[in-house]
Amino acid sequence: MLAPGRPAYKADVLLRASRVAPFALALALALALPRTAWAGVEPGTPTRTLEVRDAGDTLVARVVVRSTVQSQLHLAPGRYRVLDAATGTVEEIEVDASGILVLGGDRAAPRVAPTSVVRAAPEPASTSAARTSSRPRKWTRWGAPLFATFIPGLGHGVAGRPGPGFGIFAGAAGLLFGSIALGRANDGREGATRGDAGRSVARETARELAFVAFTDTLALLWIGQIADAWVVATGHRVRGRIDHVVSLGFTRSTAVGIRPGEPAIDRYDDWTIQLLGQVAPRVLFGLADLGVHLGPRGQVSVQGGLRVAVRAVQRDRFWLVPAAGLILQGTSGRSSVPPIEGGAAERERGRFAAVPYLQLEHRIFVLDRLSLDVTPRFSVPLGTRYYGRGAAIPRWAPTFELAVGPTVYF
Amino acid sequence: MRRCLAIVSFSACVLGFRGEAPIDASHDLDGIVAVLVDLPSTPIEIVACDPAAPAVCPATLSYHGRVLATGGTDDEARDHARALTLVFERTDGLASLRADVPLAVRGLVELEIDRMALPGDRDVDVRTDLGDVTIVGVRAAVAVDVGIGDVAIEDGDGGVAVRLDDGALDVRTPGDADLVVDDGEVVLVQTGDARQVHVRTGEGDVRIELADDADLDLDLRADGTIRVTTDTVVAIADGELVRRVGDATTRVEVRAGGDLEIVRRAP
Repeated sequence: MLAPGRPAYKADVLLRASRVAPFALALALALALPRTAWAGVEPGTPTRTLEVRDAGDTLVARVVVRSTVQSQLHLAPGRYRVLDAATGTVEEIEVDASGILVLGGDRAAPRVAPTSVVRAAPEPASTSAARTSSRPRKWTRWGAPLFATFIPGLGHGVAGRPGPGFGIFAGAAGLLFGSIALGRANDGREGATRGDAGRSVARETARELAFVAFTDTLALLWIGQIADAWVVATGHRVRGRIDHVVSLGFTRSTAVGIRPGEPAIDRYDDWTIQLLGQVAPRVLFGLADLGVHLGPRGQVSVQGGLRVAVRAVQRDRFWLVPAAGLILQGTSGRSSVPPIEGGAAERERGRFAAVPYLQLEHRIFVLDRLSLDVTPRFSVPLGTRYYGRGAAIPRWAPTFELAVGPTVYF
Repeated sequence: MRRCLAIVSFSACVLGFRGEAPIDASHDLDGIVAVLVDLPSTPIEIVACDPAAPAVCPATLSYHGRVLATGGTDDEARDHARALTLVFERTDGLASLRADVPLAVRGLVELEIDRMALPGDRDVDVRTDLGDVTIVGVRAAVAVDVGIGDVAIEDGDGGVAVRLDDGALDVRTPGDADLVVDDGEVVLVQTGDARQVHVRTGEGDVRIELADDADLDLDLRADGTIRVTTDTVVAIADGELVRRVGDATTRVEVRAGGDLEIVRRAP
């Protein structure tokens, strides 16, 4: 008899994956940080922190400027106050139709850009807070995100930020290879041999969770760096659209947990769409968890639900949104025992399930109208919840899911 | 790192209970000439007895195993395990054993058959998605259709036909052999007289031990090296080898995705 030929489990893949994941995740999240967090400051150069407030005393920007380099802000025309936090000096400034406010340089106080300077520039060098003056080529406005779509990090490179571009490329490459390695470490033959205890549940759980973390982070990084390439190329300042009417989201919700037999652990993926309207300030309500699952023997599950969410915390680029919802799922399938003479099996009576849940959405804006969402969710199915590939979660089984995906705002 | 893993684990996990229920039965095979065993993923071991000794070899299909299940509660897990049943049906001379998995527990149960027994003079047709299949002692024809798993067959005097997607195949038979494996190695040993052979693998080596090499009609193709070492043919070739020996009444047709080796069975 031949040897079973079962491939050895690649434990080293897990080890390497677990080392890389935190760095990759940090890289993805760092992309979402406001530019002011890192831009325009070089070690060893005297810096000052300036606050720019509009006529209503709303903080428009907090800018760290160097004494030797001028920085520009692109603002709506109007009156602004510039506060030097170190000296306590306040200066009233009128921004004209050009919208350019120049800060820093060898002047002791902020100043308005001379009109001649603004006219001389074919394109505002930088319109985001604390972006140092530069003159990006015009084609980078569309070229940077285009390049970034195909090769992560290349968009930042053409936009004049090769350092972050290389970091993004390295992070994406690591995540991609890690995802492939973790996927290939799956043993499709597990459970074939009688009496085979299979792999350690803890190890298999760790592999599945690492696969989820890698693939989710890769998707967020890929989308985020495309958007960020445009932001870098244009100098646009990102502010989440709190005045949107409708948002459309695409989500992958994943849970890892028990399954019968061997392998003892399975991954439950749910790819869904949600369409939420802003029915009142800060209150979102609409359809969510819209999706279809196909299983063996003609099994089809159609699901949808309602969700209500409240924007509890809103910053320019970050919202914290607690939400509650109910998934309604209907499933039909053919009998597993077709007529022995041949022909299609009869359809069984359909099944219905309701799945209430609570979740906490972390929405990180990479464009004014695009956020990347990371959402832990807790649910308890009130009926068997079906997934693709014939997998299912039994009713009453507490389920912790991690949902990620982009949302577009209209 | 452990803290990170703990946080991630807690943010994406399903908690539940496991249950189990035995599944044992015996079905009458009187008047039955062929038995179809069509089950969802499960390893299957069939041991056929000698029908010439009815005292120890009743005309029945018997088996025992268990159903594994998950549930949100302990009681529900056990209920789910009991919901799966095996259905035995008879139509003329054909009997079938199949699993009835209600939609309510689909995805929540898994079958694990320990052993099956039946008289060796019945044709056997075994089908499963995932699981090792072992069949020993069947004197009639044997057909096996498996998705993933290793398959081992001894005897099958009436001929052996196997279709296997992924796994190793080991056949020792005095009958004709028609073996198709997408991904896996094949070993075929002719334990009786010279018989027809047809083997095809998408990826995987093939080794064949022939019972006789007097009247061979060899039609061999392989992605790797072909080695034939018998009393009448000794050849090494790459890609293709066609050779006729004697009356050429024993056709050996092989399409191997790897290396191919053909030898004369040791006496």
